[in-house]
Amino acid sequence: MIEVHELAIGYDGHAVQSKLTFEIPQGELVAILGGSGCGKTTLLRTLVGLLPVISGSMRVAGSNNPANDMGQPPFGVMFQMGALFSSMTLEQNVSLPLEAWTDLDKDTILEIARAKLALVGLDGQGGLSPAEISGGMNKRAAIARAMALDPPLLFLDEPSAGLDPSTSAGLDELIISLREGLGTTIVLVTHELDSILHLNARCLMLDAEAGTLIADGFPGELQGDSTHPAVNAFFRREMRAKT
Amino acid sequence: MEIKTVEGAPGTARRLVLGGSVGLESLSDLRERLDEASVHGAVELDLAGVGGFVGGAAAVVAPRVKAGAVRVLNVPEGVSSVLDLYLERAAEPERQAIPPMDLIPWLGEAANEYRERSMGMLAFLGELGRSTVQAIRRPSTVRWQDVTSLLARHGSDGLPINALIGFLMGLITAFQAAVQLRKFGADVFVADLVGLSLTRELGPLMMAIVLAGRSGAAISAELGTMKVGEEVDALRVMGLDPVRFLVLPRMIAVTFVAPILSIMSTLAGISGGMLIADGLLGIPFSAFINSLEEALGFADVFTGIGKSLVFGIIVAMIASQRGLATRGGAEGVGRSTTAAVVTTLFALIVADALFAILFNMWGI
Repeated sequence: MIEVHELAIGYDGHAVQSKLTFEIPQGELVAILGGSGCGKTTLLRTLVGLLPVISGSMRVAGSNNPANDMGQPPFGVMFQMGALFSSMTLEQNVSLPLEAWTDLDKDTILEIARAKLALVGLDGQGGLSPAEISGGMNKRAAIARAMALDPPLLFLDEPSAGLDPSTSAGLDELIISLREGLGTTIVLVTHELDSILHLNARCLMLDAEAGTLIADGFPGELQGDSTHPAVNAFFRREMRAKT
Repeated sequence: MEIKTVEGAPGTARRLVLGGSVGLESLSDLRERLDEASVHGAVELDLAGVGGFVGGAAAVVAPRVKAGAVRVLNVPEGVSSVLDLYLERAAEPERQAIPPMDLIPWLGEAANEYRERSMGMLAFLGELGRSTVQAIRRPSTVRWQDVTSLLARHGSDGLPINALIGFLMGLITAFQAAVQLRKFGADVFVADLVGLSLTRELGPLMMAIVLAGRSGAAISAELGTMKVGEEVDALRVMGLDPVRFLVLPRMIAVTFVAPILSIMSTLAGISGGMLIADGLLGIPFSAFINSLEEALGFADVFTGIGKSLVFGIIVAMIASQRGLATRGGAEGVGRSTTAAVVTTLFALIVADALFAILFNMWGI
């Protein structure tokens, strides 16, 4: 689903991460981890085509350059703050991609939008506006919008950030059920350790100091076997010694 | 996608047999066929021949299954995981009734909104008064470093557009006056007409309208964005008064620049009038200025300056109040900016009318 080779990413030609090489097969749940400012969101924004590649190559859901592909995007994206349109209700937010990319009639679109909202636990809340709901509900609605077109690939940017443990656990369950039920490939950016352990996602760990990928594996493997101090510090919730 | 209808024996359920891949594009058709068939009672949906089944298809089928209108049969393994997920969380299909437009509740809501706005404005005036008194007692509590940059942004940066509009107003007024006055041989009064109308009325009013569109909208959008971004709340929890911290510097800057902009706009307008008088009526600049000196008194100049000062206060006050009253997200900022400009324009015209009445009563 995603192939990345010797990729350098960053802003205005300045690389924050380089020599990134990994593959994500279809149906896998992958967490991009790392400390604050290491370039997790930059990688996600590059993968979805919002930032240009500095060097190297990538292939995301069959596209070499998603930014230049003008058609229906082969993935859905949930942004960190939800990015729901405040002038629209939740139903209208979820309906938007269906209206843009399908010829379905309005009633069918509305019905699908309601079902998507019910799927993320927002049954009967479709008439509310984003300003009227909590942060957790905002993120759920943003996931429903990202899933509107049933994309085979979902990108989630910090789905648990800023949420209480119970809401965060609920969101994790949703992610697991989406992957298991729909077979969706899910790439999420996070630094919530509890969430990573609960999801048992394959972890791609970035490090700001190394400027590249420092670990690739499942939490169980990385917790016990890694020799990299940053990986150990992350999984043991320790302060990392300055090198 | 293929849909085949199999008529059962009388009294038994109608069966729809689905085949192929059920994608997004076929969902309207699927939904229509299911609803058509379910008119005669429960429908059996045979999925044995289905190769692909997108989440959207499950979104259409699951609520009907839950409502008892559809029963699914022979669900292939690949389809059951998708369908089960939606079945677990699906809601029964619903139709939202559109409430009829009722005049009395509408009037009540409108009156309530008006009351809330008025109360908001009164509360804001109270806070502003309190902050102003505190600022006079302790001037060091005002962020003067903000005032200097705001003076530049709302004053000198707005000078060219104000001068241009004033110049064009003078030009138009003189041109219209020249055409009419020439009919009566009263050409010489062009200077009086242009000078008086610009100094007392058009100069301050046009300046205020430009100020409302330019600075008022900017202040409202800026404060509105800060409000929805919780920056105003952050100030409050830090114990800082948003009115003293954010509003007072803007009030001071806009109130101070308004008379200056008005004077510049009026001077530009008079120079426009002079050009037309010279070019169209042959009145030389010196004669125009002499005529102006005779027509304009100190009272005219000071009423213009006084009005522009009040107009500046109105622009800054309404824009700040609307900005701080912003609710919602980006849409809320847009709404409050529009409301700020519209309310300011209305308030300016009302204030101008009041000034006209007062000056007339006082014989100025």
